[in-house]
Parts: sequence; structure tokens; C-alpha cells
Amino acid sequence: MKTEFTKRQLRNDNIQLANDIFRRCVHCGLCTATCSSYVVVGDERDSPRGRIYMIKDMLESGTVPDKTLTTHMDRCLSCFSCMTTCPSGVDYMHLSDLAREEIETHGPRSFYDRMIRAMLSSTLPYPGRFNVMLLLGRLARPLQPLLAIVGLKQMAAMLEMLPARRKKSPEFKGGGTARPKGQQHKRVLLMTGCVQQVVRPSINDASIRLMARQGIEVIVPEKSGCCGALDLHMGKVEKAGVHARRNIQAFKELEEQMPLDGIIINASGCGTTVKDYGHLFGSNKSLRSKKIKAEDAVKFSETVFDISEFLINYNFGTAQLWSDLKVAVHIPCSMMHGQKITDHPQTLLRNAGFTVLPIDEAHICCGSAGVYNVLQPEIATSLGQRKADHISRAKPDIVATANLGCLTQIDHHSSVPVVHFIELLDWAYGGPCPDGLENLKDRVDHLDQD
Amino acid sequence: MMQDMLTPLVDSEIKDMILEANDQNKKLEILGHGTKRSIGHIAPDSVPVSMRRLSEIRLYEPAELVISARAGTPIVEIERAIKAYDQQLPFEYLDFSHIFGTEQGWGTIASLFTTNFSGSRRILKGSARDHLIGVEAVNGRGELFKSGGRVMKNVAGYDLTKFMANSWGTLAVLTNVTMKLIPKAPTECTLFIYGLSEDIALEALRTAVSTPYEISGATHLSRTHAFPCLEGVSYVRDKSVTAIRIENTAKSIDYRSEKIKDLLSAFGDIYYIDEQESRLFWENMRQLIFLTGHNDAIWRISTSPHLAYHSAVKIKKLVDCDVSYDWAGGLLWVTTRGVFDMGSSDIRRIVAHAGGHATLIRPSLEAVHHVSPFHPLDPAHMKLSKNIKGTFDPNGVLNPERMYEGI
Amino acid sequence: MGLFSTLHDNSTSNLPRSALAEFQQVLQPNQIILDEMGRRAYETDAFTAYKVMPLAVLLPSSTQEVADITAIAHRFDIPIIPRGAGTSLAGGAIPIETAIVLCLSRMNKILDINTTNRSAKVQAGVTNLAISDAVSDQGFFYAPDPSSQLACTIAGNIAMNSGGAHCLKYGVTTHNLMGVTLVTSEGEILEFGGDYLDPAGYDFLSLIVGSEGGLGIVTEATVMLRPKAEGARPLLLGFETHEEAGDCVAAIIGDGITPVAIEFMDRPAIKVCEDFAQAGYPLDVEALLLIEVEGAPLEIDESLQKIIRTASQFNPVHKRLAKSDEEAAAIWLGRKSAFGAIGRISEYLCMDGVIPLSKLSSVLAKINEICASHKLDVANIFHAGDGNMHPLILYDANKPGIIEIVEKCGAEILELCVLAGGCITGEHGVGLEKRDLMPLQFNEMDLVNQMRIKQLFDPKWLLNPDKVFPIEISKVFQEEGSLASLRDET
Repeated sequence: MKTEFTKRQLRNDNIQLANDIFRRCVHCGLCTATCSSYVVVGDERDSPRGRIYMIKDMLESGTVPDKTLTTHMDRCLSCFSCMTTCPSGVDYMHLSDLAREEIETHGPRSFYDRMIRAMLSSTLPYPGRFNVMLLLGRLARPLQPLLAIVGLKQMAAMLEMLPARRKKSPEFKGGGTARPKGQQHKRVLLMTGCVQQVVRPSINDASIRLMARQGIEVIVPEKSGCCGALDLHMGKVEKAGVHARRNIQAFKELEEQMPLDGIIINASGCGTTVKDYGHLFGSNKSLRSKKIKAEDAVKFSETVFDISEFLINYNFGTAQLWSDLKVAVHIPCSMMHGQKITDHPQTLLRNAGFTVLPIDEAHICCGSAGVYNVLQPEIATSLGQRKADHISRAKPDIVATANLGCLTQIDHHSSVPVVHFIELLDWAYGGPCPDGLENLKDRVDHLDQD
Repeated sequence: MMQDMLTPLVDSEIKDMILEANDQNKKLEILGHGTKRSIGHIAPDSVPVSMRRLSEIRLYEPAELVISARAGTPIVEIERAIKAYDQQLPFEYLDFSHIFGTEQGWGTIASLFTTNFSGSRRILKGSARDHLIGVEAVNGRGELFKSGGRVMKNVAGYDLTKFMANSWGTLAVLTNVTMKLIPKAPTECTLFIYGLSEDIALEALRTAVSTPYEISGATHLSRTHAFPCLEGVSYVRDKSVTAIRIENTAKSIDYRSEKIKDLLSAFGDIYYIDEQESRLFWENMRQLIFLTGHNDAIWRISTSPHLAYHSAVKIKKLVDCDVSYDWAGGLLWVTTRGVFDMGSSDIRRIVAHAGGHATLIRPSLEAVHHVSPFHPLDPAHMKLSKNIKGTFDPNGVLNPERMYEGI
Repeated sequence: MGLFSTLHDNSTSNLPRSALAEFQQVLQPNQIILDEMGRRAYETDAFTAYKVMPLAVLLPSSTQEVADITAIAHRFDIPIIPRGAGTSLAGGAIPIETAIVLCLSRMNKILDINTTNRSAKVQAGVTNLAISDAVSDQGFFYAPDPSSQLACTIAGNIAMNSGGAHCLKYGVTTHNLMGVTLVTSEGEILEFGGDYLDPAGYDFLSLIVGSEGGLGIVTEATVMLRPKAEGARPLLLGFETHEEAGDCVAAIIGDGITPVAIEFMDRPAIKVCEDFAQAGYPLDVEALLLIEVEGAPLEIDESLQKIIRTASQFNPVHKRLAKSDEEAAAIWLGRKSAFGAIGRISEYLCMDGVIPLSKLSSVLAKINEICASHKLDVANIFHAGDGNMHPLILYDANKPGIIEIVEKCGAEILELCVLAGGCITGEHGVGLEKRDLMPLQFNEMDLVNQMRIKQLFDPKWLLNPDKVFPIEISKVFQEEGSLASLRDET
């Protein structure tokens, strides 16, 4: 597309970056068809092409983001389905990061809006605070219909999404190291995430057990925590940077002590952000510090693997379960579009003896999208419903996914029990039956191991 | 009484003729060889204009499957030219000579398009209209215009080319037509099932045309209709016949016919009709042999296949008739006996309800009452059609009332 | 002028206040876009050389709402620009300043699938591919397959009579459409055709298809479904010259073989598509043919043998047959994504001329000459089987004055196509882009006969005006009802 920036404007790094992105876009509109918000809303402004065009207009005219742009950027799920579709290779992800930052700093937001965002940003990434919030939330739950009526949709949605009951306490808490019983082949660092630790700790437990059983030493560093994705998607780049720096620092310290074969992420939403630290620090000079240089960020990013990516090369031996369980696999957008991993979880599950079913319209988001289901409850709900419909048409016994957000969202909309695929793998290779699948236990026989 | 016939030779003569007719308030009847003159109304005081002298193949590019000819070129001449390259007109145009008792081998190329009567292969390859890619014409104002061209894909401007199809010469006189051809299939075969009831037969046809085997004929003839059509084709002639045609290379039709046989085995014994008899059968179909041997009224009904059987049952309850099907149920041929309006009101009501239209191809030879040959249009379409007629032929010079009153 | 008092509150739109009030009566607030940034998102389509902001954008969700909008617009003399997904390469959905955009993107439901009739009834905002997806389980598909089929709507396909790679065998939109619901310029709802073949009376469907939204707004359509072939396999043939490739195409068609598709790419196009799709296209040939045949394995083998035998006379230097479905998919992905993939290296203007097959190689040579004379690069990628050329003229959109040169170059190419016996557009439509080139193909009388139809359906010229017909000619016609005065001057 033609752009109309002045030479002066182009001296700004961000504008230069945006200009390069716009010039690749030919405005063909293919992205509209696979955009998770456009398929629901049917408005050009809620499509990648519309957003790109509006961002271009804003940047060219040198104005601050207006209400329209803010509304429609907020409605973007950052599923990046558009980027898989785009034949021209338009980097919508980094353009949208840029727009969000602009909106966060100069955009027109109501007090209420800012408050919700600040609250999410200051609780979710911190397991301690989040636990407190959960407790308060449970107490406030009866207020949910009232909040919905008075128009505080986001607050209502937040309460609705909170887990109804407390999950079992984690088997492995805080930082630590799991050493394999037998021969040790590899050593990895596991990022245990933030919300995940609280909402479904069994995912980390299963990951640790599964890897240790395979002869992989798993280290969970004391200092690691939230990856920064939540803040980044709300345009809070500085805050995201704080999280990122801490993670890179933790890795650096560990790496100096002992060689690591990889940093493992079992939440694909975090994985996409963490794999992009290199760009974050590369493009944003203010994030760099004496301790953390751009090269450190790049190195960190290059060492990161989604757990499915890391395990796909492993021979797990024979599974210990015999079952006729049918598993529909929902590949999270962050995995499919963000990291271009489309079939590792299916392969792993198939190797473990499960029958894997595809879900129609796999490229469309389930509506979770980080805190999207809290901030945009209407679109999130219709996407959740849409996904649940597709799932029920596949007639599975179990839904498996690879990201906590999707897991929670699907669990909320679908009647089929949903787990992280790693929990199924752990089960198949000797771990306990995952939470929520207790009713399926009698469909499973344990094989005798020689 | 037919007046003296005008026989123009060049486009400008047609233009002058039309301008003169406009001036002198005359009406013109546009004719090719007159093979379909029995269908539709001929204004009694109109001057016949025959296009037969506009006869010439202007361009034939076998490598492009395109032929262009002046409007009055005999069809047989076109067929002779393209046969040399193993090509054919795709849509199996209908030949009415047997049912109208006229001489065989006549018909001009443009009339195939202006009347748009496509035969059995229409279901796979499309209609005459679908293959018309360019026209030159003179409208009722005496204006020469062209539309389309000699290439298959052409979306520049409004498609006046295809709009001329089925207009029965009421909008403009075509002077040149360009059409798309298809290669002749190396060979063909037909599968017959005898004695099926209509509903079962339609189910068999539906099954066959839903396969990837490119069925180019899917017909069910009633016992009465089958009899004349099966002469020389089959020893069994006193049963209804359900016919499925496959055209392709020898290897392919072997494969496909076996597949269809397997698929339809539950419907009854399936007889393989090989190339020679198959060609004869479908040629009989094209020449409407199955509608010969009686004086009954002949109806051709285009309708939704999924309602075809129900409509036929309803019609049979009210009218003494025979029903056969083509296009896997999308086309009904009904011959009616003895009703004073030839079943018109019942047939048209039932067809309108199901969606579609009924054309009275031939009134019964004993008919007393006049029945409009073309299915009446609803008021909105009638209004629009009159307005369209007005834009092309404001003084109603060309084939007035041929299709509808006021058009 | 009281009626036309402009709207000043929280919007800069010049939409007459009283008209807005009426639109608000029939639509929900979220179906009306008035703010400047929002309207800007609708100011262009996939033909970005031009852009004009509309007064408002309306997003109806039913035929009745479309009829209501149209009736109001008719009363207030407001032009309407119908829009589907905005994927037109000819500027078919680009607004004019005084117009509202009526976007059908929310009318995206499949209403009925009837496999006995082999038809599907859909709302017009359904995407082309969504129809095939919906019937694929039952073994059917909808045949026309424009490269934008993922996103483009049936409404837009009908407006432009869209084609696609597989049209060589299955025909274009007009051959695959059985019925439409049309809202007229006055807001009347009319049905044409239905779920049966060859409707009674005049063939209005043929006028509506390809009328670029100028005769009415199509809100629902009944389309033909066809059984899917048992299998399909693409064959790649590489040649050292365009001539050999061109002659090979004509020979294959003339031989009585009708492949489903024959696609042509020249060297620059091959490189870009290979970079994107990694389909294994040969990079050392001047011309590449992608030929697809369908059927059961034995039928495919038979056809391919025949094609290869015919092709061997033309000295193909590269021959590759897709051995797996994945390989075939990659080969097609490269072709279908070609336009977008070219976007990676440059902006482009995509031409759509059609030529008789026999002229393929000579026209290609001349196209390259024309582009060279304007110092412009060109990539050729097109549907060779039906002579539908898509030269992509590459240019740097930020270079001042370049677009005029590119358009001139394009016009020369289209003139060349017409002189060769072809036409200026085979499947993209005339739109805004080529309206002033229509006289290359049509004389005044031809155009008058078309414009009278426009006049009849849309006497106020409110539906997508300023498209299809040359602007000068259509102005004279609208004022005088003929072009007599134009001739008097000359």
C-alpha cells in the first residue's frame, strides 16, 4: 500500500517499522475471512485489514488514537490467524503491539476501563495477589448478575470466569529441581507461568513428572514468573519489559551455573511472547539495561521451546493405558499462528494411544485470548459458543489444548471435559488421572509393564 | 396467410427493414427456417423476415473450441464443420421435426439460442445460453450493437449476449452468434434399468448424478414414452426405462459404469447399453421420438428435482397424462389427453407451487381452446419484461406477442 | 436545502440529518458507521490506487433491512455503493463522496442445502469458500474459485461474474447461479430464477450477473452444487520460452482434452510464488504451466499421458507430477497466493484482459515490450486455458506520479488484448479501474444498449454509479437519454 509519511516522521523508529509493514500489505482482504473478530462482528473495522488501515491513517496524520481505533483494537484477540493467512507476510503482530502502546499512552479510555486494566495487570501476573483476588472473587460471586445489570460487563465476566472450586494444591510448589530417576539426558528450565500456577497447578505437575520420567532434569527457578504477555496485549510495554527482564535475568544466572538444553513453556500464550523477547528488546531501546542487552533477549528467545516442540523428538516407549478415548485437540491460536506449531500435540497424543479428532474451523480463536474474555465478554462469549459447537460436532470424550486460557474458556462453554494435553500424556505414561476426567476412568485399562 | 417473405442479406438491410417497420407501424416476424414456428403466438399481420440468407461460418478456431457464424447458418452446416475436428455443440439441442411433422435437418444456428431448448446433456454441460459468448444484433429501434466476443471469459459491461437467449427474437434480431464448443467424447455407454416406478427411478437418478462420474444423461421414460424411443435400442420395449449415460474414454466409461452398477445394484437389474445403441437412444431423446405416436398435448416443465415426483403425482390425479423425466428430475415431459385446457390450469398451478415453469410445446391436435404456450409471469416480472421490451423495441416491431401479450 | 442540513454532533459526516434519522428507524446503532475513522476503513477495496470516503456505512442483516435502506436512499437521492468483502481488484466497491456504503458482510448465513436439487441457498454475504466447505462432507462443491475465494462474498462474485482457475471446466459464476433475491433501487424485493434450471421469460439472471451492483442489490442467491471429483492431480511443465508454453496450451485444448485448469507463470512470478509456498517450482525456466486433471487414478493417468504426449512436441525442460495431496496443495497454494505473494516484493496493478488462445505467445511478448517501454517490471501469472491474462505491473506506490504511468501502461496492454480479439476484463469486472477503457471494446451504440438497461432498473443512477460506463459518456446519457450530442460535436 502507498504510505504518506514525511521524511521527518520516518526518522522515528516505530514509524519506520510501521511503514515497512504497511508497504507489504496489498489490502487484498484475505485476512478478513480468518479473523476471529470479523467472523463474529462482520465489520471491516473489526478485521486486520481495517485495523491496519486505521492505524496507518492515525500514524500518517500524526494524531493520537481516537475512540474508534481504540474500540476496534481492543476487539482484536491477537490470535494472529490473519498472519497465517496473509500471503504478503504483513507483520500484523508487531503493528498491533505498536498501536496498543500508542493507545495505552495517548488513547481515550474511561476511568472504569483504566481501572479494570490496571487491576488485571497488577493481580493476574502475581500468584500471591491472584490467590487473594480469587478468594474475594468467590465471595463477590453472588453480585455477578447485579454487575451485569448495571453495565459493568467486564467485572461480571471476570467473576463468571473464576474457577468455581479450588483446585488441588500443587504437587511441586515454588522453585526447585526434579531429578530423573534413571539416566539423565537433558536439563531444562520450566517456566511455570503465573495464573496457571493458581488456576490449574496440575499442568506444571504433569509436565515435571512427565519430563523427569524421560530422564530430563527440570529446574523451576525461584525468580521466574509472568512472561509479560498480559501487559503487552494491553499496551503496557514498560511493565511487560519488567517481567521480561526478570525472566531473562533468571535464565542468565542459571545458565552461568550449568548448561541448559532449553527453556520449556507449557502455556502457548506465554510461549509466543517469550519467543518474541528478541524483538521486544531489539525494537524498544528503553527496555534494555546494563544487565540485559538485546543479545541476551535474542539468546533467551532462541532457547525457548513449547513443551510439545521439545517432546516431539522423544521416544516415550509404550503407553501404559489402553483406552478408546477420543480426544479433540484444540490448538491454541498462540501455538498455531503465533508459533506455527500445528500438529505436535496431536502426534504426541496419538503416539500415547489416544484417538485424536480434528475440530472444524480450527484456525478461529476460542475467545479466551488472555484477558480478552474479561475485557470483551460479548465477542468472547460468541466465539466460545462457536468453538463449543464445533467441538460437540466432533463428538469427543475429552478436549485437549495447550494453553490455560483456552482451557478455562472452553471449559466454561463446552460440556466436554477439557485438559492440557500434557496431563493426558502424563496419565498415559504412568501419571494420575487428570482433574475432571474421573468419570472416564473406567474406560481405561492399565497395561502391565514388563 | 403468410405474407411475402423478406430475405435480407446484410445487417444494414435488417436495420433498414426495422427502421421502415417503425415508421410504417408494421410488425415483423423474425424467422430462421421456421422449425419452431409452432411454438408461441405469431401476430397475424406481421411480415415474415427470414434470416436464411445470412449464412456463413465466420470463424472457426478448433484449438480454442470457438465458432462464430452468421445467424441464419444452418445447424447442419456448423455440425459438419466441427465434426471434422471431433467437436460438438455441447447442449444437445432439441429437434422438434418429429412432433411437429416438419422436414428433418432444418434449423438455423441463432434459433438454438433465442429459444434455448437444451437436451439431456444440459445437466452436465449447461444450456445453449451458457455457451453463447458473443452476439451481433439489431434491436427494435434499428440500432446495430454487439456484446461479448469470441473469448469465453468476458465480464466487460452488462451481459447482453446471454440476455438474448430465450428472448424469441422479441428484443433484437441476432445477425451473428459466437459460441463455445466441446470436444466430442471418444465413446459412451448407457445403463438401463427397466420397470422402475417413478419415485424409485428418480432416487436412482439422483444417486447417479451425485457421484463424481459426470453423468451426461439421467432420464426416466414412462412405459408409453419408452416404447417408440427404444426401437432399435432394446428388445424390451414395454416397460418404463431409466437411463444413465456416461461419456468419456473407453477405459473411463468401463470404470465408471462398473462403479455405478455397484452403487445402483439394489434398484434392479442393470443393463449395459454399448456405444452404438447408446448413441441411438440419446439421439432419439434429442429428436423427441419418445413424444411421438399420438396427438396429445406436450408439456415441458422445468422444476426443482426434489419436488418433481410430488408434482407429477398431483398432476396425474387431476389430468389424464403420461410423465417422463430428464435432468435427473429437473425436467418433466408430460403428455396430456382429453382435458379441455390440456391440463394447463392444474399443471401450471402445481408447477408454480413447486417452483419452475411449464411450456406447452405442442397443443393437442384436437385442442379447441387457446392456451398460452409460455408460463405466465407474475405481475412484477411481467412489468419488468414489458419495460425491457420497451427499451429494446419501443414500438413492438419484433415478433410482437410471440412470448406474452404486450411483449 | 433544509433536508440536507449536515450532521455536526460527534461526527463529520455530511449525511443529511433527516436521512440518518430514517436509517436509525430501521437499523440498530451498531449497524450504522458515521465516524470519520470508521468510514475511512471503507474508503477503498483491493484496488488501493483510489479512495473516497463515503457519507456513512450501513451493515444490514436481512433482505428487508436492505430494502428499507434502499427505499430511504432512493427518497433522499443518496447513491449506494454495495460492498461484500471489499476484495475487488477493479475498485468495484470504492465509494463516491455523496454515497453510503451498504455492506453485506453480516448477511453470512447458509440458508439451505439441497443435495437432491444440487443447489444451496445462501445469503449474499457468505464467502465463496464457505459454500464449498459446507457441502464438502456430502461430496459436493461450488465450482467458481476466484483466488480470493477464502474472503470474497457470493454477492461480489455475482456482481463481477467471477471466475477462477477451475472455470476452464466448470464455467464462471453465470454458469453456476440458479436464482437470486434482488432489491431494486426503489427498495422492491424481487426473485429471479429459483432452484430449477432455465427460468421462464427473459433471462434476467444473465443481466444481474456481472452488472457490478448497478441493477440492484443481490441479498440471497441459489447456487449450483457439483459432485466433487474423485481426485485431482496437478502437473508442472516448464519451458524455455513463452512461445512454447503458449503453443502447448493451445495444442492441449485443441487435442480434445479439457483439464480442470491450465495456469501459466513467467519467471518473475515463479520466483515469488516459490519463495512463498515452497512448492518446488523450477526456478530456471521462462514459463511454467500448472495443469490439473481430475478423476479416478486410472483416469488421471490416462489424461496425463495424453497431455504429456502432446506437450512433448513443445520441448518441455521440466516435468513434475504431484505425488501426494500435500504436494498438490503446496503447488496450488503458490498459485492461489500469487497476487498476495507479489505484494511481498512490490505494489502492483493487476490486469485482467482476455485473448484468444492462439495469440497467447505473441501477446505475452508485446506485454513485456510495453512494460519495458515504460520502464516497469511485470510478472505474468494467469489462467492460460481460457486466455485470461493477469499481467501484474510492478511499481513503487510511494514514487510520485508513478500511478499515472502504470495506468497508461495497463491501458496499452488492454488495448492490445482487444486488438487481438479479446476483451478488457475476464473476471475482475470493470469497476472504477477500467470504466474509461470500455470504448476500447464497445462503440457508443453498444454502450447505449447497456446503459438503457441501467436506466430502466435504476432511473436515478443511485446504485454503484460512476462504475462500468465511461464517466463522460454516462453523464451525457443520463442527461439526454442518448449520445446524439456527442456525435454532433465530432
